Amino acid sequence: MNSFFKYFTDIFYAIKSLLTGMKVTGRYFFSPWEIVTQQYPENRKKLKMFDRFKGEVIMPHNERNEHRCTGCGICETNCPNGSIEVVPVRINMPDGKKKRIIDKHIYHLSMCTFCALCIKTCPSDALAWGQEFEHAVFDRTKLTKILNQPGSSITKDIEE
Amino acid sequence: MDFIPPLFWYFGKTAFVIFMMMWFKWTFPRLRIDQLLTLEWKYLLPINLVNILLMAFVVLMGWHF
Repeated sequence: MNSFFKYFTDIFYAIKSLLTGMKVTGRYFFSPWEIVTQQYPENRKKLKMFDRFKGEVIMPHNERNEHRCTGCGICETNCPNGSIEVVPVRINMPDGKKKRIIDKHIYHLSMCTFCALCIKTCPSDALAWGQEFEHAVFDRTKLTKILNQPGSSITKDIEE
Repeated sequence: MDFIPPLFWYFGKTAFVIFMMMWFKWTFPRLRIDQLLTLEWKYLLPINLVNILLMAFVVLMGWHF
């Protein structure tokens, strides 16, 4: 039922957001001396990107350094150009079972086309879009990132 | 509104529609293909189906002109 209402609120939110954009350009039409664009290098301290901006794939960690990735590898399977490598490791649980967790979630930003298939298909919502966009580096090995932070573990409430 | 000649009505309306289209096109970027498909299949098509049902009901009840 919640998603049912979200469908309709999304429609009204979309129309409202269209009108917001029309308002900006409409104002600019009648007062073209006004600056309506982002003055990028000057405002980069307080520049906030919009909600749907696709900067890079990140793995959000909470304040206890826990992520939500189970290491299932669905993101790796779905990536069209192989920019994700999930390196799983098997650990022995206290009850004698073996559990599969991630060792490294390697993300090659240089190969990513920002299609969002990994984020859409992740069953545990472990991946998200980051807002960082200044990706220029002098050495391309810097574009290979390990998304899980060192020493991080999986959030307790996720069931496989 | 008869004091405005039909010629001015015609060109006025045309200019208004052209202005709206230009305003819209200059404001928004093109839709990506997945956004376009989402709009068409998930939003416009259901709205259309509901519209058909609604209009069928209106015709059934004889509420139209």
